[in-house]
Amino acid sequence: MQKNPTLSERLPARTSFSIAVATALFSVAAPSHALTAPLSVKGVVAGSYFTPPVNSDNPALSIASTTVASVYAAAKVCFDLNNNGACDAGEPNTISRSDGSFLLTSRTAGNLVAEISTSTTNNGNPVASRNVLRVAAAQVAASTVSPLAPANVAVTPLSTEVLRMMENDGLTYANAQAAVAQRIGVDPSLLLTDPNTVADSVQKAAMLKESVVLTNRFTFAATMVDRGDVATVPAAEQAAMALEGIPRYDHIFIVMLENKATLSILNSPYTPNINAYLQAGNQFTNYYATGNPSEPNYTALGGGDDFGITDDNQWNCGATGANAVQDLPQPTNTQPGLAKSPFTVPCSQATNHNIVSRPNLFNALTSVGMTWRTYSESMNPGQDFRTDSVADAAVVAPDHVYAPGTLGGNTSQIGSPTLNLPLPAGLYKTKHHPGMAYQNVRSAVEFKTSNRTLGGGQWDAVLLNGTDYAIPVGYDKDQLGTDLTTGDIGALNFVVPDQCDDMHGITVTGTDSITHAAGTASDCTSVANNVSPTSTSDKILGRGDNYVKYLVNKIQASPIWQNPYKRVAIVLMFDEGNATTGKNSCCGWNPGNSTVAKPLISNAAGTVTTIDTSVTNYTNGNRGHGNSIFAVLTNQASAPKGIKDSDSYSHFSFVHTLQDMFGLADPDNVGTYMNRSKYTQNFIAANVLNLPEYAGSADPHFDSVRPMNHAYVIPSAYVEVQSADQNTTPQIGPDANQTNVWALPTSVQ
Amino acid sequence: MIKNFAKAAALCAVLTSGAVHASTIDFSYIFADGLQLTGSLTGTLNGAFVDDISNMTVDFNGSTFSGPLYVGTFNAATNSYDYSSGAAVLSTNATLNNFIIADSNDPQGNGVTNYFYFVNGTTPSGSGTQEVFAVNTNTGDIDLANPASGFAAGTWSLTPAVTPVPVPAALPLLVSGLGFLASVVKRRRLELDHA
Repeated sequence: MQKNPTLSERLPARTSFSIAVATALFSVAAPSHALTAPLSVKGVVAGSYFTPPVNSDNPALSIASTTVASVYAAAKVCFDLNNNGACDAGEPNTISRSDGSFLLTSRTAGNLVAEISTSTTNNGNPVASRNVLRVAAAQVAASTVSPLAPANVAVTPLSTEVLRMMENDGLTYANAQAAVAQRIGVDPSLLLTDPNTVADSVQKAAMLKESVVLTNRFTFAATMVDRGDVATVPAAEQAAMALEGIPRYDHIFIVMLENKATLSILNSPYTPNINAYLQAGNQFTNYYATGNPSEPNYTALGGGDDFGITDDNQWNCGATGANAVQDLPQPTNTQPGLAKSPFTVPCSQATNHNIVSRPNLFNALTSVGMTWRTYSESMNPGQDFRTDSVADAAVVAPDHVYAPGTLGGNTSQIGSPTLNLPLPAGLYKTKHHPGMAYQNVRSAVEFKTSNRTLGGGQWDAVLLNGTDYAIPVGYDKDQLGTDLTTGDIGALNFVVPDQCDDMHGITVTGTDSITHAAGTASDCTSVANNVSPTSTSDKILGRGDNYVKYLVNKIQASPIWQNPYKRVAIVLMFDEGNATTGKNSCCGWNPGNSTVAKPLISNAAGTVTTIDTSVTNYTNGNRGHGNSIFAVLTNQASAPKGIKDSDSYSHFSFVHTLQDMFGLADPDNVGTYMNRSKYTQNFIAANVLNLPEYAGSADPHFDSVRPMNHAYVIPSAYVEVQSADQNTTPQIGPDANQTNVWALPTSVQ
Repeated sequence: MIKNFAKAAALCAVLTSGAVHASTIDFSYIFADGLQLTGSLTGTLNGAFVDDISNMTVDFNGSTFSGPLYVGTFNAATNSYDYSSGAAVLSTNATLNNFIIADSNDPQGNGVTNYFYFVNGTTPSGSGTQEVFAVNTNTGDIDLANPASGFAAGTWSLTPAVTPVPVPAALPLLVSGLGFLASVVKRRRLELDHA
């Protein structure tokens, strides 16, 4: 006769449910549940196993990321009867098996929790940081086919997201399931299944991609709980979706315009569309450039610093020694797509333009499973992205013609319909690529495929007549249009018009087909950064304004924008304003001190900060260049509108904000913010002795980086600090309200 | 003549009181992970099937199911459990089973705290064609056999208990049979003594 083990002997093999606690639990629970059926679950703890890319400066060492469906073994799974996101003593629990499966029963309904500890494995691999995944009780109930039968439930990042939205957004289980499914383009019936069992490769890929992002967010939520930032996992999960108040967006399109101060755009008759967008959406009214000319600003937008670059020179200039160019093969005229390139090797200069081993948004995004794109207009078909576009006499387009009343109130026609304009050189410039200066971006595996074309250009109709380069079969001159249709959009999308459509201006000349007289394009002549908004020379402003309308309409007509479950934003911004004196710079630089300004670098933990002396001529950079408009449009009809945030921000702030938006940094550790985007007021205060550029600053708030979250309430007597290129009356006191410009309606948060 | 009649009567008494009528039947299910469920019932083994089921006891992983226990079957058409008399199908052949033993006979499982079902065909979970599921919410013990869901099948056994226990109703018949047999033997001895 078999001797039965004692209950305490049996339990470790099956469950860690303690007798004493179980007795206590059921003695309380039994009466109220005497007439209900017990709940049982046959489940699996599953998700994704993401292998980060290797983002090396050396392209030969760069490796793409991979993602596979996975199971978590040795996760503690429980019915979370008190809904605190933890498996407490007394709550029915078990441990997931090597295949991630588990069986669990309870007489009391509740959400499921899977505690993924560092003892848990993900597809056999160690888990680096604790995480908590959950399942709504409603999902368990919906998955119970028959009374007493085990519900078939997968505890995944997606099930956790559904529960988070139910809790935060007040959605029903069915509505939250549908919202997440439609957001990522997956059949609702598949969304909450074990991704290992999904046969449809497209939907599986969408599930895994989102799982990677959510895993990172929820892991951070567990970290916040563990260090006491937030009391419970449910609250922390929500907090992790809005770091420093910046909500998670699925896609952001940053439309880059050129060289116009706020005063030139605001209320200009040449820019009615941009002004309408400023009014229809939200805006930051004190947004500062970080340098001059273009290249340092774009470089700062890519990684929160310009590294001392003060010109538009080629990205290989001054790249010697440790900063030597590592592109393979070297971009010479012998390479396809560079045959007629103006790219020169070498480029001697004191200041290095090839930024090596520096963090940036592009690497940061791919390191956590997200994607980026740049969409650039009017490139030569077949050209390499690492070089400027060149002229092509075989590509000829007519001049833009504006009837009276269609361009800044013109009273007569502008432009000539008989003026033919060959494609000029330099419509596409590498200086306008936010990632171009970074060696580890150019060396990234996804670099070639993530740089894409942008349609809508003056020469698009005849672009494929180009003769400069061999045109690839199936060349798509408008990949933005294609991607908007297919949904293959990045999380971060820099949309870069050509140098006519971005208001920069270049010389475009042609010949009249009748008179054979030479002529100049009607609307691409450059004007000053601070041109009067009513000057009759402002035609390029009108051209840029029209192009902005074209882009906004194109994006807003896309399935992505019109998907109410996606969170999408368009930013309309300029690289720089105009001021070079006074408070022309914000957030990271005190222009009053230009003697010593080496950057500070921190270790990964943010505990050791030292002065980085490796950047040549660093003191030249980060001087700012005045104020320019910054508009934010979102696809959420019920999101707040008409908000003006007049706190001072800069490209560094925007990079900081984007890191929050995409969950790339830890607000409690400023060392995790890249380069100068970490220069918060607290950071400056803690490091002021090592931060010479801030010595003597009269306005530490103005001179520090902060997320663009409208959290700072301007003191009542504070007179707005303005850039020298602002012509409005300084604001006194706080804004009309403190609503976050990026705020989303609760239903999609 | 009389001798043969006596033998037949004795055989009838034995058969009636033991093998053909209700007896104790043991059953067990050993799950693939080794967890054991054992039990017994009173019933009549009729070919491969058990009829007239009563007096169920179940021990799962060393803990006895709280009772009283009811036996029924899963009705896929109504997606509920039918505890009417004779509904349950218990068999020596595992592929023929369709039963549930639970401490409540509510069709929706309300009030159940421990149960064991063995269903072939349309399973309660809707997955696969055979599902064996045991749950004791009092202890937290739970195990499942459903190969279609990744839980391997275990081993089913249903056999008469080694020592049949006569049911009370058969005892008078047994006693009368044995008495009759004794009287026949005594009469034969008297006849032999007088021969």
